[in-house]
Amino acid sequence: MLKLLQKLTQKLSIKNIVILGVVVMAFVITTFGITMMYLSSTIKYDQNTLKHILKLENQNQSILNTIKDINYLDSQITLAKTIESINLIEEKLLLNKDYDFLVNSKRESEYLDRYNEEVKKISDLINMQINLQSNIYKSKSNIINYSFTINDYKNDIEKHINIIANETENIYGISSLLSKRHNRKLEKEDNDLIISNFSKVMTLTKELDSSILKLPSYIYTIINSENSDNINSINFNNISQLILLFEDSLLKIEDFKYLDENFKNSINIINSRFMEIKELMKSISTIKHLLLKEESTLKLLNNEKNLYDNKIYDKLNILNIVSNDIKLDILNHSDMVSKKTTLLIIILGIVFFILIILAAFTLISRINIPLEFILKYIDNFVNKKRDLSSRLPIFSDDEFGKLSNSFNNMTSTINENITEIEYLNKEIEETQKEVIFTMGAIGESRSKETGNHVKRVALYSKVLALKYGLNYQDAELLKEASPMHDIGKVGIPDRILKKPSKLNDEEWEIMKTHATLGYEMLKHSNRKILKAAAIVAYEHHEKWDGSGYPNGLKGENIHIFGRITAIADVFDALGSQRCYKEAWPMENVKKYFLENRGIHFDPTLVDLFFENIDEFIFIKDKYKDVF
Amino acid sequence: MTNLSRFILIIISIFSFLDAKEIKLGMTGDFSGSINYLSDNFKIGIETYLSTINKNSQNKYKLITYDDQYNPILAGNNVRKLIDEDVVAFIGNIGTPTGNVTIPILNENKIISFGAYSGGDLLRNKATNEYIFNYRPSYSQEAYFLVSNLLLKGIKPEEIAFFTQNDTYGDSGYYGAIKALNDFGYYDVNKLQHGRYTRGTANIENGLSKILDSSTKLKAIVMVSVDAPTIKFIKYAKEDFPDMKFFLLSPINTSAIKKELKTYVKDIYITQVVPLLSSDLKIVTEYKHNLNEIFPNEQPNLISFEGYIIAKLFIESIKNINKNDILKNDIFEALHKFEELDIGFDFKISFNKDTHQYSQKIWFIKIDENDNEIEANWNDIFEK
Repeated sequence: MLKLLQKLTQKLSIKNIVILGVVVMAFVITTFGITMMYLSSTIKYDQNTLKHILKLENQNQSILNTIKDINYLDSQITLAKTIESINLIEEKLLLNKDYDFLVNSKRESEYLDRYNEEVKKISDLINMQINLQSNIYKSKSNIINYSFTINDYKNDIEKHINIIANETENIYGISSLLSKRHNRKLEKEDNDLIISNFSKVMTLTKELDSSILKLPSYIYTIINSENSDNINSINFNNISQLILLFEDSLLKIEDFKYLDENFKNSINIINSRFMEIKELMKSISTIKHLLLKEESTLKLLNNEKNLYDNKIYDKLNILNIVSNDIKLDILNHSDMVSKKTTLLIIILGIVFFILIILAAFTLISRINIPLEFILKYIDNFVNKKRDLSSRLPIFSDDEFGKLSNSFNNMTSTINENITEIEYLNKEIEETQKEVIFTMGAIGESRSKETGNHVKRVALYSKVLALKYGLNYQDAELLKEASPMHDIGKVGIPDRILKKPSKLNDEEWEIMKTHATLGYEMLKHSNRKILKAAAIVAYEHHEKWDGSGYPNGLKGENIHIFGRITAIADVFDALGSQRCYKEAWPMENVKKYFLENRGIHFDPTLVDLFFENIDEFIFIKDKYKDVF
Repeated sequence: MTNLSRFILIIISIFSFLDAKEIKLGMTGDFSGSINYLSDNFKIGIETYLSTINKNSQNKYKLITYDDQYNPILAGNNVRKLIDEDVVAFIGNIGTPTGNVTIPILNENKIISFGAYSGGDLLRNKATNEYIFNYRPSYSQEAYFLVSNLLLKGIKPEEIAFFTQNDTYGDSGYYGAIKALNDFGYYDVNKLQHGRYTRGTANIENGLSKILDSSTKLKAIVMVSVDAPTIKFIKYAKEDFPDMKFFLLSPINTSAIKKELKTYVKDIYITQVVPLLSSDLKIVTEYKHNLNEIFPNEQPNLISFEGYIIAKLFIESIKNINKNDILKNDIFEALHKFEELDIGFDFKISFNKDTHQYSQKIWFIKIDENDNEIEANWNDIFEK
């Protein structure tokens, strides 16, 4: 996958990858944000709608309450017996007429539109019902008015009847009393006529009395009649009969009014009251007709109202269904929204995860891998596993490609410089060597020694050092340094140095100072070769048994360079031909060394010398002094 | 009296005023109809006593009255209205037919009616009078008193006629008369003349004509009637029976008699349930004095006197209630525990257990030439 990513992003720089990553992330986050905003806005929408629904439900309730109020008022109207109470009810009814509760929701929702439509229908129905109710109220108050009027008339009639009855009783009583009194007196014959007249009056008043007793039942029949035809028949039949009867009786009594002054009076009263009763009964029938008509109107109105009631209840049911639908819809919607939200969060989470992994891998593949490669490459340089001339491979065109390129440039530059430095270094070393060698040669030239002596001692020392186990560099150093072992002879006067005879003690002592002189000349230098040369000059005349000079050092206290140079110097001196002597035969040389093993020389070195005697002889022969 | 003691008295009276409890008493009567003179005077009597007692009592008694126009239906409404206004008892309700309607309401509400102006039997029937306490004897007792005394004076039953109002009032009186006749061994009461008249009218002619049918010479007519028909009847009857003696019952207003029947008063005798105002009984003196103080413009009369008596009897009978807040039940209990008491009659008496009736005494009066009510003597009525 890394490789695939590498391949895919090969053409892009890391900067561009980062920019791309940020852009993608920003896009994803923006998408998420927008989606969430959308979802939350829909939730808000739901909340608003829910609020509306609650309002709607309250409204449904208030509509129900209103209907209840109206029905209550209706029952009150039905039960009302007095105009005062019905007026109170009407005031309430008018108060209730303000049905401003209708929702004027501007929601575009289809459901709410439907709901509003239903509410509007209900409100129309309620308004109609209220109108109907006020008609019912009017009808009912008419009925009450009529009933009251009828009742008043009835009471009036009863009063009149009472008066008529009392007057009739009076006439009867008077007749009775008068006839009794005449009877008691038992005067003339014509009294009989008077008495018989009185008894006629008494009979008539009885008739009158019975007639008058019939009246209340007629009135009762009229008042309680439910049918206009009945009233008419009562009017036309019974009452006309009664009137006939009454008028007849009265007419008859009229004939006898001469009997007593009070008669006349009573008859007049009865007459006038009867006329009033007649009028009142007419009025009662008229009003009763109106009442019946009004009652049937009321019945119709009530039926209509019930119809409206039912309609309103039906509409309310619809309203409830609609509001339930809306609620259900909202629930579904919010359910869906919550599900969507969860899903979105999960998807976005996964996408984020993948993107982050991709980014991580991309960055690893594009940064870490080349970086590690470069580091390893540098390590190889450090460990000299790789030549400076080798070049970093360039995989991509990106920042690391450029870095590798720069690195390559840098190494090649370094490489060039190093070659130059090495050359210069070599020059210095060569110069040094040459100087040292020349210095050695100068020293030799001051003595009787030949020029090749220095060269041979140098080679012998190197071989012996290597055999002894010193490393190559030290052996090489010794080789460079050993030619200067007799540099101190520069400071020895020529009369001693070039004296062909044996040196006396004094001269010998001066001669012996060349070791210290050489040391003093070289010791101040910081150069390795010169330092080694100082040691060689100082200690090449010390002896293993401590009998040498200048310090009389013993054994291994003598520097290895000194011990080696001592053997090399002596060997060359003995084995080489000098102007003043012939070369010692090899047997004598060997004999000498054996004799001085452990005395003059380091026994280990002597042993090594004998072991490799051939190499030394080879060197002696190769650099043989030619005279 | 020093200033200081005056000051203390004022303080005490203020405190007692603050502590005063108003006790409401109800009364329904006819204050605008045919017997309003009864109700008006009765009320004056009651208020005379209540005002007197309120001066010195911690409890302030207040009489609330409603007019029923002698109409039983209105009387029922009034009683209900007064119960709603938290009266603790009724005192001095007027009338027998109205009483017949109000008694069931009172029983239902368990509230006392005390000293009603009615001689009706329903008020004295053990079955119905648990909450009724009467001062006055019944009409039948009054009629019994008259008839039995007539018979004792040697008047034969056939010589007595009756003229009664055609309702329960008339019936009660007639019943008492018949009881007296029966007690004297006379059972043939249907032979006796009995004229009636319709309540609310003065149509007495028919009743009189009936009495005219009598085959024997009548000597006395016992009348259970009210003022107007009574006056008319006596005027008419005097034409037929110049020597006739008329015996009237206590509801008759004696001042009306004095005014309308001046020429006949010597033949008119009236029963009373209260003592004569000319007597020197303690209660009479007290009544006259207090009436003069409370209603200086009112003349003493027997009706307001009875109002005064029943008010006193009521207050005396509940004065032992030892409570701040007197309720209708306390009054009921107090009346059922009532013991013998003299309220100024010179004798001690209690309520009859069955009739719930305090007084059994009937006074017998007539009016003299000077329009004074005097005690009548049975021996002087009929000349030997």
